[in-house]
Amino acid sequence: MKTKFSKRIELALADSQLRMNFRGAMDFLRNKRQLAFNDVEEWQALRKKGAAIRQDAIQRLPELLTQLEHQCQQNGIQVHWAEDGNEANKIILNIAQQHNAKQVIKGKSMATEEIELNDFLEKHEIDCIESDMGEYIVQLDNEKPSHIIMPAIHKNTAQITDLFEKKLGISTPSGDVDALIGVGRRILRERFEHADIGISGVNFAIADTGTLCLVENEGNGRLSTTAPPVHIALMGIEKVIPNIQVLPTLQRLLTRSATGQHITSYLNLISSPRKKGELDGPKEVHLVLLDNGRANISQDEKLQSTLACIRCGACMNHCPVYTRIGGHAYGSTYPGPIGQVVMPQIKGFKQEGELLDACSLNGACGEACPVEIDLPELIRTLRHRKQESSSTCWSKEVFIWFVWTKIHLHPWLYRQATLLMAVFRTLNLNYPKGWTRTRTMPKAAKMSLHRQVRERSKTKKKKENE
Amino acid sequence: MSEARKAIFARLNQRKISTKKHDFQAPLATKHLNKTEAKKLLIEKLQENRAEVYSIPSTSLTDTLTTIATEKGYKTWLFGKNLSGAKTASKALESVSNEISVIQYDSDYETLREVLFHQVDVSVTSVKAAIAETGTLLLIPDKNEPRMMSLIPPVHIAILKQSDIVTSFQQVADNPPWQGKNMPTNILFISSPSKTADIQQTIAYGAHGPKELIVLIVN
Amino acid sequence: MLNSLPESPQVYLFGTCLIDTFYPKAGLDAIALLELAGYEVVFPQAQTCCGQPPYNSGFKAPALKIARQTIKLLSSKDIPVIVPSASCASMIKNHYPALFQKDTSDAQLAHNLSLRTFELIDFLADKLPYGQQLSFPHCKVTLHQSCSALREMGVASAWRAILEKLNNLEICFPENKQECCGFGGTFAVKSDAISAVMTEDKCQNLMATGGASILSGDMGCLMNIGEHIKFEGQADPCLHLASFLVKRFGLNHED
Repeated sequence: MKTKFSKRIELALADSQLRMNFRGAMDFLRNKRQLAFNDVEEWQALRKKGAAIRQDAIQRLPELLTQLEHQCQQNGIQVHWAEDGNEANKIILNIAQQHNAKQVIKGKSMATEEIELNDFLEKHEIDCIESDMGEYIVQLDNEKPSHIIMPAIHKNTAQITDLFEKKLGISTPSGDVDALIGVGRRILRERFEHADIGISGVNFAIADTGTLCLVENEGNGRLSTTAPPVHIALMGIEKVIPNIQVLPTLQRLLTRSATGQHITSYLNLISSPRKKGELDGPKEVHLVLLDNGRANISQDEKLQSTLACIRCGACMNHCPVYTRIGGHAYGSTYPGPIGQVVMPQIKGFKQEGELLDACSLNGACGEACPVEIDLPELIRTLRHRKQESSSTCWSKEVFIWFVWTKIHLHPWLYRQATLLMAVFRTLNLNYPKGWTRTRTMPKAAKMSLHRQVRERSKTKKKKENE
Repeated sequence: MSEARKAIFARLNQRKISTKKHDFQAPLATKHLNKTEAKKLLIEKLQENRAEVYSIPSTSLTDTLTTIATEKGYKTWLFGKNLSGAKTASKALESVSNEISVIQYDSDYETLREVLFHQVDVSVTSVKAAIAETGTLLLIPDKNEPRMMSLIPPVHIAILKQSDIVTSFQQVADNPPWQGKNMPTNILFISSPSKTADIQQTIAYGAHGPKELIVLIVN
Repeated sequence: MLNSLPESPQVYLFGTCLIDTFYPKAGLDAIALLELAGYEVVFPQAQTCCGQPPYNSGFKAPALKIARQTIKLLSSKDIPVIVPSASCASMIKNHYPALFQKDTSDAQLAHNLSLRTFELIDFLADKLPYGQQLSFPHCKVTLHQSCSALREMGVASAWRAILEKLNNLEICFPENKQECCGFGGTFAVKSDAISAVMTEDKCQNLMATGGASILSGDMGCLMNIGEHIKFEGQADPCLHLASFLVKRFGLNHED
């Protein structure tokens, strides 16, 4: 059962270890990205181009998706369409059952998190192991990723050492990251060797060649998509790009924004299952195209740019709120600014609308976004939509703004209100509580600016007349 | 045609919004490096990413490999069929000591799986091209040099011809070394040994794949 | 009425509701500086708020009504509109035009107003008679660049530039200077827990610089910062940039 968002925030803020882990990690990632984009002019040009590539693709989704489907099928990749998470899960389960699969190994994929694939497969007695080191650590502790690029960023080395000792019974020297990675490597290679099915996400899918692009450092993505006899790739329909010529720009933006790397260890382009005569690679490749609200977003002029996202995580690395509460507090698949924008759109305001409050509209996320998504504007727009969709009920907030508007639309009334505040300025109000938990209340001035300007011009006139 | 597909396209085709033209094809300003500069940058970038790089004359490929074998103590070697000089090198390696053996990736993965995962120490592959700007090797695995060669063995030795170095990824994408839309099954861009920074942003090599990447640039 | 003297160019001052009620001194100082720069300041008494608070809190309809009223008020003369707050300036300059349907007369007016709207310090930066500043002993101040100044308005560099032109002044910046102070309007009340922590961090970093005053061109941030520092039992070191400049130029006006 999910606790309330505000409760989760209070808990996260009270956890000093968590706070330290996030602050350290976010400062580190921001600095690395800064170094990677030290040439401001180059960054601006690259960013502009990246934004244009993505916006063009979003506008041409029907055309590009048709082309992608056709080309994939030509290449021998089986294409499936899923309207929502439930359908996608069923498609994947169906493929797994056809192959009597018991063991699945998964590369890092936020889309599979979005549809909660692991839980679903587990219910059908299929063991689904995460192979990305961060995801593996998180899964071992029955948690969800707290960051879309670095899933275990909320934990430090000591905590992971303890976790391995407790859950795996393997102890490693304290502070020895190499030893921990060595443990993960041993366990996961065993799984790669014997898994029945490999599941991955897709960073970009090239329409005109039917090619799936996977960007990664660890090699687990390559292993998940090469070792098991069947590979299933799940992608949101917005991830399609027209051709390989646009890939270098997006790749540069993605890796530099995500981790400050000019390129990752591996860029893996998959265009077909194992061809006749070839000696390795999966014999079947399936591509599951997931809508889950995306098609509707693409038809909304004001919100469409949500889909331009390349999932680099820079917005969360730059968000002062995320930096303090971490990913789990959001209680959603995608945390941080992009999560605040995506989640209410795919799950509705009722379930996820609350996320929209946790933003001071400071604009750091929008400034960092490598494809120029105006995240603060999207958050603002979604706040408007949320309000409009619930406009019938008279909440306290609605009442406050109703009165506020009445006052501010009538200059005379407004001046009386400021006068009243000036008169009662010495009253020691301890309200609103949110404000006074860490601040004193500001005191109204004895005389408002309006009044002082009036007095000033009176004196001036007097002087002139004398 | 699936119901889901129909429904998704119906939503996509509502065309509620006006479309704008986005100029995404304008090329970015690029620097062009000459051969020497490109090679220098490539080596620099590869080394930054923890690859070992040696520049050698083509005549000394075999010697270099046997030296590596002796110095590093690699015993079980894996070769494919693409590399010219593979045969000579294999023979030379096996004659270094009777502890060294050479395996050919010539049967399917299912047959070779256990050997690949548990026996091979080092694998030697060719490289199609290299990108100086990022220190990246382009591999196009095929039946002669399968995908797993650069992935499962703990050490990957990549042999690059000096003449195959280009400046940027964009150059490769604009003039790809494959035939138009006839994409190879798999194309790989490799820039370092397998690595992760998932534990407290500390880089550790050999996360799942090769712990070491050795690049031999042959003149 | 005939006037033989050459008329000074006029500007509107949009004082902002926060300055109006809580910090009128900053507004008067803005007027003094504008007059020093040779402008006649027009202060329409019918001005209220720019509408940003409801606009950012999800209430677009009230914001739209307020915007209409404000646009009308500030459009009777085709003169610059000066706002002594980057975030309110941004509301008028950047968000008003987006409120209205394209190609309507409202949109046209909003667009026209947008082009005439300036943040005070940015507007003044190249217009003050720096030769007339008084001399002061060496002094250290800390600049808080508000998020609106840094990003939506892009005037943070002008704030810095204007301080750099003052004599014997050392300008400090806090650690994480690009980070939000935690105010964010109703965010400070709605997401009070997060806001409190952000405010505490910002104040700690600001105070650690050892500047004698904390300066900014956004009274919202300064209210947040100052009231927290007071909460911690210390004196409020915050000062609007306009007020600091007024001191530097020795401009006196009756308080």
